[in-house]
Amino acid sequence: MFERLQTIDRRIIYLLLILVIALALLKPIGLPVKVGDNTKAMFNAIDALPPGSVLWIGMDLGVSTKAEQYPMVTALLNHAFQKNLKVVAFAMWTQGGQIFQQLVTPVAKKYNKQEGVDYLNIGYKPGNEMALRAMVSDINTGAAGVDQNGKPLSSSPLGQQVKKLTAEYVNFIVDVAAGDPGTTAYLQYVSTPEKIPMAPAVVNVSVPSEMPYVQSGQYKGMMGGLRGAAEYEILAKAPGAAAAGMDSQSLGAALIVLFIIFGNIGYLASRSKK
Amino acid sequence: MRKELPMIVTVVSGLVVVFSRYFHYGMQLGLMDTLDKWYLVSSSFAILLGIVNMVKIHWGYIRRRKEGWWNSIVLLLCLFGYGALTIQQTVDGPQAAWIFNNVITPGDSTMFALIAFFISSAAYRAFRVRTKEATVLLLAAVIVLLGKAPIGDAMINGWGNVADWIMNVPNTGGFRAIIIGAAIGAFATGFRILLGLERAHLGGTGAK
Repeated sequence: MFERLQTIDRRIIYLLLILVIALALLKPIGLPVKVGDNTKAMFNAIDALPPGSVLWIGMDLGVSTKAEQYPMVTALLNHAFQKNLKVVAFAMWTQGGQIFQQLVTPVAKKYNKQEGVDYLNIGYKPGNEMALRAMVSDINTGAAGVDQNGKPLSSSPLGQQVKKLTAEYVNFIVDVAAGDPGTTAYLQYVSTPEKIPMAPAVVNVSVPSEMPYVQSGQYKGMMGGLRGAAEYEILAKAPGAAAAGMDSQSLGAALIVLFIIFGNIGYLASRSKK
Repeated sequence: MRKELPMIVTVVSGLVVVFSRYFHYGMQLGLMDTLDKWYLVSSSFAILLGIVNMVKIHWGYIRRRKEGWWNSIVLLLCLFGYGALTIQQTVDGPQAAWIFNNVITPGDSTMFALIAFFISSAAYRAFRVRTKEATVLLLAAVIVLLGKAPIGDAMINGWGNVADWIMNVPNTGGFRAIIIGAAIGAFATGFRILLGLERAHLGGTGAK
C-alpha cells in the first residue's frame, strides 16, 4: 500500500500547490519574518547615504521575474525616496526601462518626487557591458544622449548632474538582476575600478553564485529572492507584495517537503518488499 | 581566405583590445573609449540583423506552409505592429504601455510561474534516499527549503541558522571553486582564440 506513495499523480500535487498558495494569500497566517544579515547590511549601507546622494539602480530583469523582483524595486524606491536620495535607473535588459517606469510612477507620486529632478530613467540601451564602460567615461555616450522616452539627458537637472558613472557622481549601485548581463558586469567594469559600493538584488537561484562576493566584501550586502524583498520591505517600513507572499512561500515549501517525505516512504516500502 | 580572414580579424581585434587595456602606451592613446563606441554601434546593428534573420526564417515558414505557419504570421504582425506603435508613441505611450502591462507582463510572468509546479513535481520524483550522497542532498535541500521560508524558524527556533550555515559555508565554498575554475577556463579559451587555436566561434568544428 505504501508503495503507491511514490507514484502520486502530478495533477494532485499541482492542485494542492495552487490551493495552499491561494489560501495563504487570501487568509494570511502572519508568520514572522526574521531579517537576515545580508539584507540588513545592504539596507544599512543605503540608509547611511546622506540626502541628495545618487543611487544607481541597474534594471537587469524581465517581466518573467515580476513576482520576485518587482517588490525589490518598489522597496528600494520607497527607501530611497524616504531618504531623499536621487535615483538613476539604467537597463541592460530590453524590458528593464519599461518596468522601472511602471514601478516608479506610483512610488514617486506617494513621495511627491519629480522625474528629471528626483529620479531619471535612462532606460534600455544596447551594448551590455560596453554600454556600462562607455558610461564610466561619459553617460551621454553610453546612453546615446537620451532617456527612456527619447528626451535629451541634458534637458533634466539630474541628467546634467550625473555626467559619468564614477564615484564623483554616483554614490551607490544596486543591480536588480535576473541573470546575465547583470551583477558581474557592474562589479567588473564599474564598482571595482571606480570604487563605487554596490549590492545586488537577485532572484533566489542566483543567491548561491553571489555569496562569494558578499563574503569577500565586494558587495555591501544582498537582497536575495522574495524573502530578501520581504526583509527589505520590513526594514524600510513599507510592507508590500513580498511580505504578503511569505506565507504562501512557507506553505508551498512545506507541501513540497511533505510530498518528498511521502515519496521516500513509498520508495523505502517498495525496497523492503523486494 | 574564407576561414583565414575571419581568424586574422579575430586575432588582430583581440590583440588591439589587449594592447589598449593592459599596456601603458595603449591606455595613453585612449583606444578603449573608441573601441567601446564601435562596440555600441555594432551591437545596435546586431539587433537589426536579428530582426532581418527572424523575418527571413518566418517568411520562409509562411511561404512553404510549414506546420504551424500561422504562428509565424502572428509573430511578424506582433513584431512590426508593436514596433511601429512604440516608434510612433515611445514605449511609455498609452497603447504601447497598455499592451506591455496587460499582455506581455502577465503572459511572460505566467510562463515563469509554471516552473514552480514543474519543480515541485520534479523534487517529489527525484529526491529519493537511493544512496548516501542522495540522502545528504535530500537533507540539505529540505533544511534550506524550509529554512529560507519563515515556516522553518516558526517550527523549530534556529532552523534558519542551520540553513544559513549550509548556504554560507559548504555552498559558498563550492561556488567559489566553480567561479575560479570558470575564470581560468575563460582565460584559457580567450588565449587559444588569440593564438588561432580555437575556431568554434568561426562556425568550424572546434579546436585545431
